[in-house]
Amino acid sequence: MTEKSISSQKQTFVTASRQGDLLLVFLLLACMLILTCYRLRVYFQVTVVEVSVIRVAPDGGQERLPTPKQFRRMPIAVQPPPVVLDVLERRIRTYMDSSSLLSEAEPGTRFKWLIRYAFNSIHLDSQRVLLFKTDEPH
Amino acid sequence: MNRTDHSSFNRLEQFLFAPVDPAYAAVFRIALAAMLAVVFWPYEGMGLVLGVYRVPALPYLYKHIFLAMPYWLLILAVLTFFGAGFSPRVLGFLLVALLLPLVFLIGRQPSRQILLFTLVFFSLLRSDARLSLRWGRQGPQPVTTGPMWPIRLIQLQLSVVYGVNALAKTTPEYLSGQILMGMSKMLPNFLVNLSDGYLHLGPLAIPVTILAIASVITEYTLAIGFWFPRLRIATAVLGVSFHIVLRFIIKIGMLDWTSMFLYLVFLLPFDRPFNQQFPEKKYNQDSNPNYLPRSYT
Repeated sequence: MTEKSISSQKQTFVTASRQGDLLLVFLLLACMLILTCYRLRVYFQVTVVEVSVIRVAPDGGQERLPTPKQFRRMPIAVQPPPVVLDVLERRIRTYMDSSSLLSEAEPGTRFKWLIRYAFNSIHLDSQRVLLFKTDEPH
Repeated sequence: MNRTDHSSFNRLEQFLFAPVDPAYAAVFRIALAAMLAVVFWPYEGMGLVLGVYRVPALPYLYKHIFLAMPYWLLILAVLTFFGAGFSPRVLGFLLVALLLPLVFLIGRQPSRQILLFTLVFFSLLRSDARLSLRWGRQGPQPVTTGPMWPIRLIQLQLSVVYGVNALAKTTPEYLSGQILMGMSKMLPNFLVNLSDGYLHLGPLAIPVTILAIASVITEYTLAIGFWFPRLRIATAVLGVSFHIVLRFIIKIGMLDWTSMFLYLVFLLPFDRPFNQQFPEKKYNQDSNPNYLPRSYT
C-alpha cells in the first residue's frame, strides 16, 4: 500500500471531499453565528417601569389607587422601551375595558395612568401618561 | 511549504478532520436523545410566539398538529430509535424537521435552538458504529464515525453562547449593577431583591456591581476556558458552580441545564489521533499523534 493511499484512507469526510466538508463547515458556522448572536443573548438589558393609577374627581381632588399586580413585574421588561410601552399600554386599555373602574365612577371622573420608565437604569427619568374619562354629565 | 506551515496545517487537519471515536459518539447520541426529550417535552404555560399569528395557516397547524398528542408521541418514538442508534443520521434529520416548529413556542426558546443546532451538527456523523440497534438492516456496521468538525461546531456553539452574552453585558450600565437592580425589580423570575444595590446573604451584603463584574468575567472564562485541554475540568467546575449559584438568584428555565449538558462535547475525548485509526501501520518513528506523511499535502 502506498503512502498516498494510506493517507487518503485515514480521512473520513461528511461529504465526498475535503472541499465539500470545508464549504459545509463555513455554511453551518455562518447560519449558527447569525442566529445565535442575536437570539441567544439573555438578561443583558431591562426597561424599568413604575406604573401608578390616580383617580381625579370632578372637583379636582386626586386619590392614588393601588397599582394592579400585573403591572408591577413583567417578563416583557427584558425588551427595549418601545416594545414594553406598547405592550403595557395595550394591557392597561384592556384592564380599563374589563374592570368596573370607569362604570362605577362618578361622571366626570378621570383615571390617570402614570408610567415612569428608564432603559438600563433604575433612575426613572421618562414618563408617559394615559388618561381615561368617564362620560361627562349631561 | 516550510516546517512551521506544515505543522500548523497538520494541527488544523487534526482539529477538523481527526476521526471521531465511535464509542463516545454513541454515548453522546444517547445523552442527546434524553436531553432533547426533556427540553422539548410539553409543559404548562406553553404558547405560540406572536410572529406565528402573522401567517394565517400557522395557528391552525400548531393547534391541530404540532401541539397535538400524536405529534409528541411520534417525536418520542423517533427519539427512542435515534437514541438506540437505529439509522441515527436519517432519524437525526427527521427529528430536526419534527422539532423545528417547536422552537417557536414561548419559553425554552434559547435552549431549544441550541439543542436543535446540536442535533443538526451531530446528525452529520455516523454514530451507529457502537451501541446501536440494527434490526433488519443489511450491510456491515460502519467502521468510521466521521470527522471531528461537526463536534467542533457544537463546541464552538457553546463558546458563542457564553461569548455573546458576555459581550452583550460588557456595558457600563450592566457592570455598574444598574441592570441587575432593574431586573430584580421588574422580572417575576428573579428570586432576590437587589434594588438597594446589594445582595444580602445573611450578615454579608455584596455590592451588585461586584456580582455583575463577576458574572461577566465568568462568562468570558467559560467561553474561552474549554478550548485549553488543561483547563477543561476547572472550567466545567466553574460553569457548574456558576449555574448553581444562578439558580438561587434567577429562574431561567432549561438554558443552564442545556449549557451544562454541552460541557460533554469538551469533556468526552471524541477525537482520536489519525494514526490510532490504523494501528497495524506505524506512520511515525517518534509516535507523534499529529504526524502526517508528507504526501498528505
